[in-house]
Amino acid sequence: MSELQGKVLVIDDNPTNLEIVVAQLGRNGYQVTTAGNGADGLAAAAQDPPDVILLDAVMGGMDGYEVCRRLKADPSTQVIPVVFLTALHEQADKIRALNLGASDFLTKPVDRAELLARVRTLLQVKSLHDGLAESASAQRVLVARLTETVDRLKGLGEMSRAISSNLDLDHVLAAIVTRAVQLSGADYGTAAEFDSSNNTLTYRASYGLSPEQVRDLQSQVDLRRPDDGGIISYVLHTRQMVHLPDVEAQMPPELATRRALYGHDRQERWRRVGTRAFLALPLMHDAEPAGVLVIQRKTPGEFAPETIQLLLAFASQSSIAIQNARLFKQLKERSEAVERERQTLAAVMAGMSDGLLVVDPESVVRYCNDRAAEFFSQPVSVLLGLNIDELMSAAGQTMLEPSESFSRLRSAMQEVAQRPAVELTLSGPPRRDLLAMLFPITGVQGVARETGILLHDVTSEHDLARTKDELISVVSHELRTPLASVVGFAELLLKRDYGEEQRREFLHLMYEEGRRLTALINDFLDLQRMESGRQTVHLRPLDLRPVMERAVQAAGEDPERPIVLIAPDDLPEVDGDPDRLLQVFTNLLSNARKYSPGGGQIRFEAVAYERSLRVEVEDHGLGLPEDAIPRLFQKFYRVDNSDRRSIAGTGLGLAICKQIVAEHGGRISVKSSGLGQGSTFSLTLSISKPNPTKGDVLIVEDDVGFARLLEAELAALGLSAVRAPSAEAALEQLAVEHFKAIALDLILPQMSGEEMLARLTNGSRVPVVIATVKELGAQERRELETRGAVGILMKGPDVAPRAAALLSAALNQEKEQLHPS
Amino acid sequence: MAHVKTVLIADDQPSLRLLVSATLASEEIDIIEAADGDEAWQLLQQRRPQLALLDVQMPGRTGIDLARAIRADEHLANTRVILLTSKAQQQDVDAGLAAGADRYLTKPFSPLELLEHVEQLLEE
Repeated sequence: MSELQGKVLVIDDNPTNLEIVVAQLGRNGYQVTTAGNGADGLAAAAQDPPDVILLDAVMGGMDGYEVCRRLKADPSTQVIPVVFLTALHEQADKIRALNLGASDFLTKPVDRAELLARVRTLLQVKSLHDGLAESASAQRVLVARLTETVDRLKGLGEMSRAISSNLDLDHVLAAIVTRAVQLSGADYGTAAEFDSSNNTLTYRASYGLSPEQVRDLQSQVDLRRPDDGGIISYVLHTRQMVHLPDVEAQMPPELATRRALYGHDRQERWRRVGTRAFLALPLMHDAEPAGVLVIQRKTPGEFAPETIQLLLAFASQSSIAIQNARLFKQLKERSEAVERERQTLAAVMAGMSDGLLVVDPESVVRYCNDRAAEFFSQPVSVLLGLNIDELMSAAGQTMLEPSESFSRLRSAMQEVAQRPAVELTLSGPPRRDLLAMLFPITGVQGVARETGILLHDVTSEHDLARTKDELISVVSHELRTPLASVVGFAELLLKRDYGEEQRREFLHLMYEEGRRLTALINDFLDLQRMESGRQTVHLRPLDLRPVMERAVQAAGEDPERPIVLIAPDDLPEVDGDPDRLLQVFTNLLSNARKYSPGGGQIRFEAVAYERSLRVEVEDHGLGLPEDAIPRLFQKFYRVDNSDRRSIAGTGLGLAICKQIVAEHGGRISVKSSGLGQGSTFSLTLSISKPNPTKGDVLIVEDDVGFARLLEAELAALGLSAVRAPSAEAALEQLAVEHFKAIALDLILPQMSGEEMLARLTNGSRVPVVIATVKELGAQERRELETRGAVGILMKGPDVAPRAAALLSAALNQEKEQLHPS
Repeated sequence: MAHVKTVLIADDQPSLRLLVSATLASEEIDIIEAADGDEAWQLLQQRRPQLALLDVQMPGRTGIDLARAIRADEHLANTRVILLTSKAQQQDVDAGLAAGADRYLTKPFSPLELLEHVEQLLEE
């Protein structure tokens, strides 16, 4: 029962009683104090509150009742159980004592066993009471702690919300640092992110520090020596928290050996900021350091374990924030990259000259580019969502052999993996031959998800192939036919004996057919050269009448089919190539005679209009059926009827004429009132642009703008000018006309200005003013001056008037020299 | 020889007709000539020749048209057909034979070879 032993105060004015009680309690291990009167008892109780008070009811001076009243009135003693020791037996006295707060009674003489039992019971009660009181205060502490925890949880909750609501790392870390500093009662804080890929630490957020101070911190970051760097380096390297309750005190041993922490630099820095207590925690991510959270306080002292717990919680939140932010950044970068790629791809697909359809496994069109829509003559919006059968039946209206195309496409779709290609022909207009190339669009697992259909327009290839086939077939026919006669008759002559007359007939036929073959080959090659652009016309101002006369001469005499040439003497010049136009006229005149078996006059006339000149060849021969007219200028086309069957021809003459006239920028056409009514071929050519050929100054300049400007400046000085766009053109002009002066550019399309000057003969030497952008050395200038350059100007804003003035001055000077006054 | 056989030559080229008739010239062969497909068909109907030498590319009916028409006409069941043509590609040869021609010769051809074909067909 020793645990219940306690302090007992005995108040009795009878020393004998005191002795007895003290002896009895003392033997049982109680700590007993005594008081001989009420006042002493109260004082003792107040000074050292006992666990139980034994109080004599009847005492001299202050009696027991009064003492009890006072004990119960004093808060420091009111809880102490009071046992009355009394000889009284009266019920009224007991009630009085209980009313005053007494716990029990012992009647004198006090039985020893009873005394001990009562005291023990009272001590038990007192202990219970104390326990209750204690638990009450413990409860208060718990409530306080709970409140604090709630606050912390609120802090963490805010963090979580900040993290989930804002993936911007800087924002999240700023919130964390702020809360960490506030909740830990610190003054400053920072959060820095560590990037292990390039070993850099970046301060992301701070609290209580100026931007300069943060920059200062950032500048001090040195992670080059993980084993031997500063505190931050230590935290990152060891992943351990560093807690310095007082930075002025000795560093802990694990830090004291680090070289970066030698000396007083760090202390100095701490002093500048005013830091006394310092706490740095690693922010971890996947067991790797991802940053550091630092809290600093101006007053020294340990950070409470609760604070450290809280900061650890924050640190883990920060790590999550960093992780989230990194993931988010990666995701954003990736999605941006994907988006860029998607946009590029979309632009490529939209801009392709090929049509593209993407069809999903249910055969529904999921993508369709503009070109495909154009092929099917439907807007993209209509085609999307159609299944392929609907698409094909929509296209079927414009499809040649739709059913065949459909089945080809359907069976191709069954074997997409083989990347089949099928041909579809859309009747249009315009008619299109499409090559549909199918390919699987494979997903991540390499499983074909969708089918791509690339629609390549092969119309022109097909047309070209068709044309080529036709041409080969026709050429083959045209060549083989005369060749059959040549080879066949030659064989007969070699293998059989024929009379002289028949031999001559065969040889004549061989000769005729051989000539026809030659003409055919020549015409064909001629046309090929023209069509391929290898043989072009050389246009120049041309008087057409001499060309027409030569054509008439070349046609020769034919009294039954005389050619009547009608062309005025003052025929304006046309832009033409005399050799090629002679070929055209010769051909038309030859046709006119060939297809006039019954004879008749042929009119060959040139008529000038305002801008064009028309040449007509009219015959009174076989004429043309109406349906032949549109095809007449096609290669190898020949009007066929019995009248003209014996008339030899290659079928290429008019095609050649058409090509030549087209290259002159003109047109050729034919009219006929019908069979037997004769035909009229007419062609139009452009009249050469009026081009002054006489003037005072020849401007040799390919920049038309500058040439016009100079022309205007010269006109203002009373000088006329002729423009030549090249040195070659200028030399031609100078060969036929005399100019008083030349304005020359040096950089010209082909021949340079320098070379042109070098080619001028002494006779045509006149003053030359050069205006150019070309940089010239002293030597070059001297050379130009010996060739007549009287002025060399660099092209610039006012060079045209200066050049005009120089030219004018040079001409006046010459005049004076020629006619000295 | 028992009797004279009639052979039709249809070609729009006079020199070709002369070449063929000079090649075939003999007392046993009576040569008739047509300058286009329609004239050839008239002569086929009127004279029912034993052999027709037909140019494929002719104004009016082509040699192919005529060969088909001959095969479809029971009166012309005994008329052999040789197509003479400048169309030398295999598809042309196939088309000619499919139309019912007995021989298909491409220009330029050997007159003596043509004569052998003619004699073979006339003896059958």
